[in-house]
Amino acid sequence: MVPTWRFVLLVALAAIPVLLVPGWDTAGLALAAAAFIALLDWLLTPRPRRVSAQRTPGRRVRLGEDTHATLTLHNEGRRTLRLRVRDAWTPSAGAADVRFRARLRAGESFERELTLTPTRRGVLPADRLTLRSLSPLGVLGRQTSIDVPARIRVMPPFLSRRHLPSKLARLRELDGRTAVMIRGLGTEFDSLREYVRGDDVRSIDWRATARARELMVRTWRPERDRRVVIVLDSSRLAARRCGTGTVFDAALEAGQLLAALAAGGGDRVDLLVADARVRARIGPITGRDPMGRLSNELTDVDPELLDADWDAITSAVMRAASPHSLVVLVTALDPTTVAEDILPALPVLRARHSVAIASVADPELESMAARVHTPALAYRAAAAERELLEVRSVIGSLREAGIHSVHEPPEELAPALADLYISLKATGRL
Amino acid sequence: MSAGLDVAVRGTARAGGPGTWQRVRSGARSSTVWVIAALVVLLAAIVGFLSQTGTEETRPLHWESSAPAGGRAVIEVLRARGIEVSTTESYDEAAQRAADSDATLLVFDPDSALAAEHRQRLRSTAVGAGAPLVVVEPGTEVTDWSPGVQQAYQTAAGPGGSAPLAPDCTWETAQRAGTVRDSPERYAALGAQDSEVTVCYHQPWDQAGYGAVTREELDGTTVTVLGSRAWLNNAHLADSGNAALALGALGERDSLVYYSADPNDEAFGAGPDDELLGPSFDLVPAWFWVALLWLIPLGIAAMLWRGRRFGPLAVERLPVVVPPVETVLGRAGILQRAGARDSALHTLRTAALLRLASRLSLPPHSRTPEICAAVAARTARDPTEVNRLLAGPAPSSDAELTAIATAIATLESEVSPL
Repeated sequence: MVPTWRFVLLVALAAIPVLLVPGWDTAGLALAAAAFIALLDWLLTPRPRRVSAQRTPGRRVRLGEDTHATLTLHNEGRRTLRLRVRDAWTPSAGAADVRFRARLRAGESFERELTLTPTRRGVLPADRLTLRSLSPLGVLGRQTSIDVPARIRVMPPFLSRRHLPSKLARLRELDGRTAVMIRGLGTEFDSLREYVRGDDVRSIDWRATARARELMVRTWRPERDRRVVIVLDSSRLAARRCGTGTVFDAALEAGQLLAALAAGGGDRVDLLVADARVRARIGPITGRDPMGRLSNELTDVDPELLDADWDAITSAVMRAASPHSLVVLVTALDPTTVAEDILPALPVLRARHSVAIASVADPELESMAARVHTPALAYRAAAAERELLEVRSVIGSLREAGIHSVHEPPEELAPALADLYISLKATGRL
Repeated sequence: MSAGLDVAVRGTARAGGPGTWQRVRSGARSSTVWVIAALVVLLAAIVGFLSQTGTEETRPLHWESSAPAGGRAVIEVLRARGIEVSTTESYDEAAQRAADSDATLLVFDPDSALAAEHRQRLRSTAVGAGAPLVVVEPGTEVTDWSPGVQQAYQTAAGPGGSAPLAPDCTWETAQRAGTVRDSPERYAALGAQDSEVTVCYHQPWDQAGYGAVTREELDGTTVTVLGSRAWLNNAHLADSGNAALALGALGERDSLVYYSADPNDEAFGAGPDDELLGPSFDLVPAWFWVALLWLIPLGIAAMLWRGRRFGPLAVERLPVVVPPVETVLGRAGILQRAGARDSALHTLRTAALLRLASRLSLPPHSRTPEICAAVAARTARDPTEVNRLLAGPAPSSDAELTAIATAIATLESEVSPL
């Protein structure tokens, strides 16, 4: 039984006879009359249970885009229903305008499209649907809430997509260069072409020259069909807030850009998300549209408050990777974790693969280190500087161990990692 | 790629609910039931308490009150002595009974409910009928009851204490009763020619003629003024001569009429509530009070209307987010609490030296003196000053730490990259 504003009005109207003839008897009679009218009205209210409901969620979207969900109500009863409907969704689905009125004759259907503007990534479920059937006088209503399962998929935003065209262009520029400029192991023979001035004379292919009676040079292209394994750390260190999002958001951006770039460059990409266990394993990703599948599978992976198990991650990588791969670990450069967990696990990987570590630098540390105007701030600055020095020494020791590392603020991590990949590719060190 | 992914879940539901038994079971588990049950118990307790205390009589010297200040004991004792006691709170009834010459009239008016004409009428009725009149603690109104007596005030304070009062008079009842509890009130004879007033019970230091009990002979009967209600109440009736005095004063005749004045008696005309509220409230029309009272059901209806939620709250399980730099803040707190100025400044100096070295393009393993010299050369500062900032002694206070750290920051800002 749900009173409406008309119920309050009814009680107010019941005061009129009492005002005219003051007395306890009149008051009791007036209240009893009001209660009787309300009860009669309530008994005549059609039941909202005779409604079937269906929700049809819209297509999956990237975070930042709008989607929609269609609610269909069908009156299976024999009486006309005047409904007030609350089409509730989980708060971060960003449902606007969830309350509306509907009038359903017997056997009639009603459809309404709800616009959803999600505020976070993930699989966002619909909440319960609440139906309030109003009585003939509108004094009272019957209300019921039912589960109508539906969910929308909100994929990670991939904001670093804007870097992709320029990075792919740089990758293509590597094609057709002479071997001298990019001399190194593993570059593949591409084709023979005529010598033009400026080419290194050491790349002249004398046998072809003799056959063609013109000066011919060999050209090389970057090696193709290499394996890239990207490991995203989803442990507690990735749950830290950093800039506008979390560390894991920045890691997702970097991982997506690298995967798209490597797939565009003709390499095979595997992506692992792991903490104490492997949370997601995607790959191998090749071909034209690598992002659709990648983004879809990364939709509902969130960091958890667990420590990463680097031995398990290492063995998962060894299983995923072919003999010589580029293994990119996107993690946090926490000195203790690196010294105690990551570095002992790396020699196994180093023996068979190239390893790179990408990590998110917290811009707040820099700003903390720059403020020293009060004693409390000075101690904070000292602590921040200590952290920065430790990260620096970790990077130094990684470099000594022959591991490439990228340590950048959240917005710049993805392009920096892409640059590292391009430079490794250009020098044939994949 | 796949339509199945786009439409992740598409659900249909029918609003069929759980069965009655299930609803009863889940209802019993919900908190509403228990809240209502607690309210019912609380309400019952309040009603029970009120109904219990409502019947309890606590007015002083009231014949039904068994409280320490009540008067049940003295009435019971009188009845045990074979005296017929009738009680009343109505002035009209008291005035009617006062005309009976066989009954003693006891008047107790603690709230001064009776007006002067009521007092005089009651007295003249009793005296005219020849019935003895006993008044307890009349205060300043004593003259209305006993025309030859007035309330007396001590001009000199006694030594204090509450020694029992001795009768010290010719009234045989008082002589029989002996000493009684001390009383705060004193009365004295007015000294008129035709009055015969006996004054009893006074402390030795009282002024002459003052006493706690007076007895005036009046037209063949007597008016007795008892100066303390404590002599009659349950708590002190058994003390020294209190009971004997009370029984002697009240038991002169075969029956006793006890009139305890009630301020709400209709015989006094308008009720006290109207006087309290004042005459301006008569101007408020009746419909106003109706409207005011009607706000209660209206408020309840409005609460029901606004209080009903349109479906349950939408809940969501959010991913965990850890606050940033919390370990760094923790370490800063530890440093500050431990007063680790030297290690804090050492860290700041090391970081500044590393930055300065890279800005001045010095080799990565340069020693501190080399960097200091290069910085001094670059900024044209005094080398000893630069050396003091970047490699000086540990600070002795937090203020000095801040000063050095700020100076280092300034020095860094002066060094532009080569």
